[in-house]
Amino acid sequence: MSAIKDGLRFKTAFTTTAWVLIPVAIGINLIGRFFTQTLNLPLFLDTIGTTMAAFLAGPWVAAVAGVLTNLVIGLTLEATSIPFGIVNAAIGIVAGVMAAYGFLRSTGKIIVMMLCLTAITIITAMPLVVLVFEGVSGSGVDAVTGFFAASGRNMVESVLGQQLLTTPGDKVLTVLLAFALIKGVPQRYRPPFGREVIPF
Amino acid sequence: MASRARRVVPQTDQHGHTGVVETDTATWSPARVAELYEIGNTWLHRAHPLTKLAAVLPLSVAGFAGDTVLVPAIILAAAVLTLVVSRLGIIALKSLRLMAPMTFALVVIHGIVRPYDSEPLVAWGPISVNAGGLALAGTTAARIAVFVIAVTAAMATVHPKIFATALIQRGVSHKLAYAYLAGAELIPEMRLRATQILEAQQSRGFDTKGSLPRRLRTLFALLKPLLVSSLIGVEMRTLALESRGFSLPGRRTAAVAVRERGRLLQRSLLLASIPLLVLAVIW
Repeated sequence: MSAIKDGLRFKTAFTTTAWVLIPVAIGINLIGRFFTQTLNLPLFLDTIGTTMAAFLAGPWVAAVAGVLTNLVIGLTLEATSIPFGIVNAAIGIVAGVMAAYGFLRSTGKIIVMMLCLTAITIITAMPLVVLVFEGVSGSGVDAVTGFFAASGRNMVESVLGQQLLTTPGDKVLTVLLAFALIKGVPQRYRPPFGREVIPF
Repeated sequence: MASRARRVVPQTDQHGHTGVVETDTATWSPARVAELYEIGNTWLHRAHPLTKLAAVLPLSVAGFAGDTVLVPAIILAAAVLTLVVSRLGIIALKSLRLMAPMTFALVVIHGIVRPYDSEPLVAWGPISVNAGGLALAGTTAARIAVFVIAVTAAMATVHPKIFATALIQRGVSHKLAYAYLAGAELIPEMRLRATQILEAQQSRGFDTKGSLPRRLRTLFALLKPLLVSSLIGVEMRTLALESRGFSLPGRRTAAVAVRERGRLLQRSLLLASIPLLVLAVIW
């Protein structure tokens, strides 16, 4: 249990392993998006690395991984992703805290975690999409926003409708994949936090 | 990926200006080259990395002043003109290319799809173009474009390694700078590995174009080897870093020195954002 306590405490969470895990999480976030685009899947999976970091090293490490993912992508590939670092960090914090409190130990609790991650994504992303980007994101989901806008709904309702349709599936798969993939890694290769929150 | 394999070597000249030079590409790993970075020796390349980054804030805030396209369009035009005159037109092109899908979505949603009470500018069957919607789309696109061009110009003219060094010299934790730099370097490397895994799994018969459940199964088969190998690699990297004193306290000396300058300018640029923010809110 001490590894979980260390992972929850900001001062003790950042071990060398945690710092090494952060760039790996950044890479995985990017690869998730790359594979879904290659396979033409209606998903993003761009927070799978952050979620894995949350399950392996706790909320604070995942939050830093989330912010840095969007900073690195924003500063080296596409600048518009920078503001969404807040969303990525919030996902990392919620996933990490819930993992630490045993939400990966039963199917029912995992479903609750998926719902919470969906809710936090919508709550944090919606104001950014509406206020800064006037409802668009430059990706395929804009077609869904356009559909709601065409039916006479205002921009807040249109973006909310789009998020409610596209986010749950993405978050369900993100949690399932992160959980299944970590389970596939031998215990000895997982950081102590990860060994305790997924003890099988 | 191979076409981007340019070797960049950070150098500091006799005046203390930090820049990079291009050398032989044969032995340089493409994974080490940042995707956005453009080699050159223009005034923008020579400017201190943090001065360029500090300039992003007032420029972006100024873009939000006024409720018409005028202010952001003027800033955008000035930025594009400056980049073209400085022989950095490629950066302007990159920025505008990044903005293309978003601008298209803005025009379609606000200018064409969204219903308005006012008379349409052009009506063609069920499709009508609204002037107010187009103006909103144009203003939003121009505002975002100002931010995109400012960030792209700042970051495309500094090698990530020099940027990380500049951050450390200003007191940012070397661990945080490591995470940023390693993340930036890992992106092309992971992409390369992802492509290799994709091709390997395709050769083993995994379906990338079948039904949704099939493609989801393929996704798992693609992600598993990449993630498992990455996590196993974490242990090796941790040991390598620990053996090099990563967690030891104290200041680090960098292999590449970035001359300390422009502090006053950087502070002035950040301070200038405050009145601009007030102006943007009240105007």
